[in-house]
Amino acid sequence: MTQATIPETGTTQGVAVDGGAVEEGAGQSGAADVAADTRGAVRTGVHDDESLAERARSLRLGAACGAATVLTGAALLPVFVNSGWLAPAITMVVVITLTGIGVRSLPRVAGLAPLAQLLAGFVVLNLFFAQQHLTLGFIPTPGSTRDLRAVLGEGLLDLQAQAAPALLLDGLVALTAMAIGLAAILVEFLVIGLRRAALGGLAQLVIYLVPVATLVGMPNPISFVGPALGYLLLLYADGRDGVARWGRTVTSGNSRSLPGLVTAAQVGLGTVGLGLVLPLVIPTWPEGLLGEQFGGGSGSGPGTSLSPLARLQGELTLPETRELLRFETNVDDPYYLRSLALDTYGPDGWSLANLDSQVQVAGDGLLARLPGPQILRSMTADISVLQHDDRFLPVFSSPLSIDVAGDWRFDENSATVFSRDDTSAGLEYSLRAQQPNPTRTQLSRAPDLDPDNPLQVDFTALPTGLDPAVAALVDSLVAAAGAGGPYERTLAINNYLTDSANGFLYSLTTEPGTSGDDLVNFLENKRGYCEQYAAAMAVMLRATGVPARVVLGYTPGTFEDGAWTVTTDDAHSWVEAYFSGFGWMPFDPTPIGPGRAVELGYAPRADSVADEEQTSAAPSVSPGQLPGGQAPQFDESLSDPNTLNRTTVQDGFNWLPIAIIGGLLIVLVALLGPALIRVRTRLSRLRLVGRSRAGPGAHAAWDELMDTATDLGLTSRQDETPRMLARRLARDAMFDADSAVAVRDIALAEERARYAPESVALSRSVDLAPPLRSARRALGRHAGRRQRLRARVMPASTVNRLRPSTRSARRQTRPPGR
Amino acid sequence: MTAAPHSEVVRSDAVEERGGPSAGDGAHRARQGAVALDQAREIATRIATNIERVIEGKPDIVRLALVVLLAEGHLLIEDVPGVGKTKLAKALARSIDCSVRRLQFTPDLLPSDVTGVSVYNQDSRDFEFKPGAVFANLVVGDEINRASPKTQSALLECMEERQVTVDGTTYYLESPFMVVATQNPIEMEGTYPLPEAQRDRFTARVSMGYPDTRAELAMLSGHADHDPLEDLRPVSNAAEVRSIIAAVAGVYVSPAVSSYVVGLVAATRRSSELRLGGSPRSSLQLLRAAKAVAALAGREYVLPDDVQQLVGPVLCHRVILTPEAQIARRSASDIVADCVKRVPVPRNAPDPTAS
Repeated sequence: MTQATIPETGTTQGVAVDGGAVEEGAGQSGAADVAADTRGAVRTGVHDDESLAERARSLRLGAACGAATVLTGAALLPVFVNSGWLAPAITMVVVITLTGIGVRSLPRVAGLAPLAQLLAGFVVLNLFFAQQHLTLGFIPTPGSTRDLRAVLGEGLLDLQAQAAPALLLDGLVALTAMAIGLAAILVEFLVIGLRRAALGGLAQLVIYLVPVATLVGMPNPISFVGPALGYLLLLYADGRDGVARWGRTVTSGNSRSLPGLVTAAQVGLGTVGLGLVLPLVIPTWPEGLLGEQFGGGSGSGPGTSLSPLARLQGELTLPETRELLRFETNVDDPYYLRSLALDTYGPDGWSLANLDSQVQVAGDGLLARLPGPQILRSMTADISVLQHDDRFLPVFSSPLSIDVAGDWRFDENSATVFSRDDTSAGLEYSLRAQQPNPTRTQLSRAPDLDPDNPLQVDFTALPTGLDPAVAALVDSLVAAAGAGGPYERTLAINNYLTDSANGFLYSLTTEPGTSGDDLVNFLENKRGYCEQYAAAMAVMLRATGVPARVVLGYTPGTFEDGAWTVTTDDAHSWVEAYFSGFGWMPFDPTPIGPGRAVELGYAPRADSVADEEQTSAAPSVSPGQLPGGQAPQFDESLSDPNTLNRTTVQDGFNWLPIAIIGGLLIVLVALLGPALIRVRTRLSRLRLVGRSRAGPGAHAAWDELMDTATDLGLTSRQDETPRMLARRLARDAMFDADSAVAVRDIALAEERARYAPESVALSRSVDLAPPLRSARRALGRHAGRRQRLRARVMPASTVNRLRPSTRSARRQTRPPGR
Repeated sequence: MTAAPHSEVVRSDAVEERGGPSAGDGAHRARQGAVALDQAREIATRIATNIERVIEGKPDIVRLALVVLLAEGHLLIEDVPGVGKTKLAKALARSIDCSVRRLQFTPDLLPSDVTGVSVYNQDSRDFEFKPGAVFANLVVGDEINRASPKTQSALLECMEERQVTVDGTTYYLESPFMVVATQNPIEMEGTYPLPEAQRDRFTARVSMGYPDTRAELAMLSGHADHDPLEDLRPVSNAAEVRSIIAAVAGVYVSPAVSSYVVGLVAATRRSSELRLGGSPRSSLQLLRAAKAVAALAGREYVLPDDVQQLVGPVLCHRVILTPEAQIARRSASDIVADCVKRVPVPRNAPDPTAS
């Protein structure tokens, strides 16, 4: 044999540890120091010491996990306006990775690595976001913890207020760092603790979902490439680790390629192919589904070129009346048509918050749904636009569906239908709506909202500069009426404004006051039109803690020939107050003429009728009390219209529950499948053991014993014969004499079944069921509860059999022919 | 080729057999004169005990020597001087009442000294064959590597074919016939290392290894003044050994075990660290020896365990390492052990419930 035929490889060097995977992945971004650390450790771990090899493995996988998490974090790059959040996030991952590596290198406490990592992550958060109260510059104290909690709380609020790409607010960055840190811990736990690298992707998926869910439009490629690279790195590192556990990696002769490259390419291509095909058959959600969480958008709401209030005044003061809309409806006394709601009260009066809804009205899903159960009356209306031309579509309150052409969207927060591009000019549309019609008794039972409820927080917000006179007036009104619940307080204010005895007059011109505050001027002069009345009432309601907003729209106008005609004179403004369990209820404090005003049973005008209770039920409403007459109790977080509407997005067939149930089923099958297969196999084997004593019975008993051992974490090698295995099991699992005999009996029977002439096997067969039982019991006793549970839930024997990678890895260690 | 001293030790069966051969063995006692397995085991144990009176603390080596005898093979004992190589060979020879010849191989030993020579008999006026040293049941060849290659190769024919051809006439050797050769791997000056072809003819090679402290102490105190070999009396005879050999030949080998043997030897041929793997003859001898091991354990069928414990002694002296493996200081026994690890233990019938 000549020298030339001898392959020139380094395979004879006995290199136990290969740092290749680490150097590749960690070379990216900020985990470079981890890599440097690891490389050094890998060099020292070359010698075939078991514990050193284990430590090197921990280093390698740990570094891979850290690098993978950092890569996954890259997915968040497009979510923020700049990359200032990277420093704390990467520091977080690096510290957590190093902590994990450090703790795992200590043999006694290796299992505590996740706890230590949590602690380390907590310290890092404190260092970055709550330095003030740290002892010795890094030890967290109760004070710093409070600070941190405050920062994180801010972050939660920012989360709702900000849209992607978000500004780098401290709270948001802290939340991000915390999330990435938790993901890093989770990934490490799954990959190193449970040795389930594939599941590590779950933690990465959580982070990957953030840009996907918050960004509208085509996601930035980096959001996908980062996590994908990270996941591949994770799988690669684990794969190398899996191969290395079988012995030295033997590469074939002259190829210097990475081991398993071909297999990896096959798997990768197959997966990508599936990834391209599968989405075609999977139902999808509209993009940005979860995006509302990040809230209010670009800042340029539709129709904000002119203040809505200014236009309202303009319409009311037009020299000539113009006809705007004509509609037909199925009820005799339709309430007002809403255009939009003003929900923010600032120094400049009421204004419109940003509208940033993606919910198209063009579907047939329910748009606004009132918290039920309550008495509602349904109504339909066919509306044709005459001279109305606006980006807000006038609709009746609580529309369920709107049939309209164009790109109209529905904003649940303000129950406003708007469009960015289309206007209402020349439209013909029809809608279906619900009108709440509770009795006063029912309303009076509505409790105050939880102070932390976002509705309560957002819709009772008042500027700090509010004149104390307003608050004083409100307090005196409420006190005078002896009002308790929010409805009684609302009624007290409503009565004050609508009672002609108080001297309020309707006037399109307002008199300038002396206080310099329009609101106070109005309350003093008692002259104004709907804008002043609605604005004042909303502010007063907010002052007494009732969520309120100002609504702009139109009164129904004049009824003629079966149709209502709305003109510019019908432009109006009123108030909506929110009551727990009932939703937003309109109140109109403006003393407009009886021809225009529509009476509401629950909001009687103080100066109109005395027999309020009689009018409480509108003519067309099916009469009836709520069962038990009790005020409905609601979980406000559920009856919050935001939540309700989000689940009923836009299409009639609701995929979400089906998808969730299906997904859960798949997960359940994936989780329980191996266990079920294992149980089935065991039963069939036990039957076989009972039926036949020689041949098949012995094989079945032996296989069952081996699988039990595998499930309980005892591995077998391919070169071990039955009696060697029996001996080792008896030794490793510290069997007592009886169990050792049982295992040996099974091994000898298996041996005979395999290697002895049939006559011998038959003549010496024994009943293997009892020894099998006692051997399995002994194995279980040795393993301990956790192992037993794992063997039952996720039996390793079945999982390994279902997973071809282990077998191919095993094959790989066999050297190729020369 | 210099080989580092190995200590391949045949593992003893810790898992004891339960129940003796009861049924089925009759069918496999193919040859005439074969004894029942338990009887064979009893005789073999007697011989082994006898040898162990001289060779203390090395039951595995003694057993292996017996295995080679029962497998009708030849034994190569290789180790440093003074560890009892020759003593083992002589003890084995003395324990069996049969013809024994001892050959001290020296550089001037001639082939005719080994095989025999035809001399002219003046009385009969004819050439008469004077049988050489190989005409015996047991031939102890001491320091076999000291003889010249032509003398060594004189052993070739008789070892493999159990016959000697001199001047065109073939003489058959008696059964049992076993060559026990010793070789000193350290003092290679002026020696002729056995060529591969000759090494391949030895069924097994063992290294004696140093005795442990207790055995050495016992040796010093007990046998300091006289040679224990003197006291050794035969405990068996050639006929008995023949009957055991016949019994061994009847041991059942399942197809699974045969394929395992072939797989193991093939693995040495495929190994990237070996320039030369095991020969087909080695497969044959490995299986034969495995049958002897099974018989010595009183078992009428061969197990992969039997094969595994023989792989080292049977294969290690036949393989040649690649230069890389030598540079990496890998020993033949390490590489062969690696090969064993790579070959899965077979099971004859595919199980429906297993993968």
